[in-house]
Amino acid sequence: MTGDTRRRRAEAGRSDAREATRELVERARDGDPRAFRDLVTAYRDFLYGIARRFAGSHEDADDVLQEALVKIYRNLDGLTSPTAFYSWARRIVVNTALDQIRSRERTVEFEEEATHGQEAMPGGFAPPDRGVQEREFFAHLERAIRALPPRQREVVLLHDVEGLSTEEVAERCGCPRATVRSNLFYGREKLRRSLKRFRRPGSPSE
Amino acid sequence: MNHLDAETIYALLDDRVDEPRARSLRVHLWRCDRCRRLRDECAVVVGALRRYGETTSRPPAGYWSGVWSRLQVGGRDDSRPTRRRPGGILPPLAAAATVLGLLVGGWMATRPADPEETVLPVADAPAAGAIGEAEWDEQYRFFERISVGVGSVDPLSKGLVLAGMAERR
Repeated sequence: MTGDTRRRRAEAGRSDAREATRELVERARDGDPRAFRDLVTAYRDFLYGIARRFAGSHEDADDVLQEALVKIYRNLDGLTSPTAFYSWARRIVVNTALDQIRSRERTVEFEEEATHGQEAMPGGFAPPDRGVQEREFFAHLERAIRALPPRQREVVLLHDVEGLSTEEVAERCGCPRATVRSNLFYGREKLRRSLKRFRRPGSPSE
Repeated sequence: MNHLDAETIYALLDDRVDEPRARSLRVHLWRCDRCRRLRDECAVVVGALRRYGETTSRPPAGYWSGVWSRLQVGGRDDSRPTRRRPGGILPPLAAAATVLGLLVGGWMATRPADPEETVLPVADAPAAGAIGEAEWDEQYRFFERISVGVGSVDPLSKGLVLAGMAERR
């Protein structure tokens, strides 16, 4: 198969997917719950992943997702471009998760674990790329993010996890860019310190 | 050059430092073990957050069927996804209707008779599954008020509604 044929087929596939999404959105708007279910099912792992990353636990992600799905269904009429369903739905999930973070105004008690006897390799962090250690690292990171004060958590998640620029985060949070940068700095620093159990001997202390 | 602080290093990692300054910072990092280790730690944090954003978490098995069941979406009679209250909508509505009947009945028995009775046409009540969230909430609030004010509501219905209240909070 030539590169040109492959490109044409890929484009045809994308076009079919867009058409299928548009049709499902139209049917869901007309009140077909099965179409709505099929629509969400197509993106469910992504939507759950976003809710989970922002909420920090399965239980909270479940709350976020249920609320977001109700909002998505009720606001389908406001979706101007049906083929952009995923990015639109993703934004609703993120906003719902941020509302949850702000409304709770609490942080999970998080104890930084002692470093004695846990260092693995000399110099810097142990890289999070090896099986069990990687899972442990990300589980620890998730708990540490969850323990951040709401504003820092919000900024870190939007900037570093979602990849938004400082300007976009400022717009989303309704605060000046300088506030975003300082919250980002303090949030990252707390995460760096909380990950010190993965630190190698000889790393800078603070 | 003095040792670099974490704020400067994060600015460097975020490309928020102009090129001449970035070049001198990189030269310092090349020469200074301590700052390089700090840079590595900061880079791991930023990199790990990016990777965390790319991870796809999977919920426990059977999670989605539970979600659809709770949201009441996908069945033939479902018209809107709403959060389902424990025990469904019928028991509290039935209890509310019973209490409402008792209250209205009592009022009818004691009010003075109208000189002329007018019969108004009424539409069929919507089926339970077709009641929207706003209507449900209205009936729920009504039941909440009377279940607080009237102690004789049957305990099962009251318990179901109170459990629903707890879930809402």
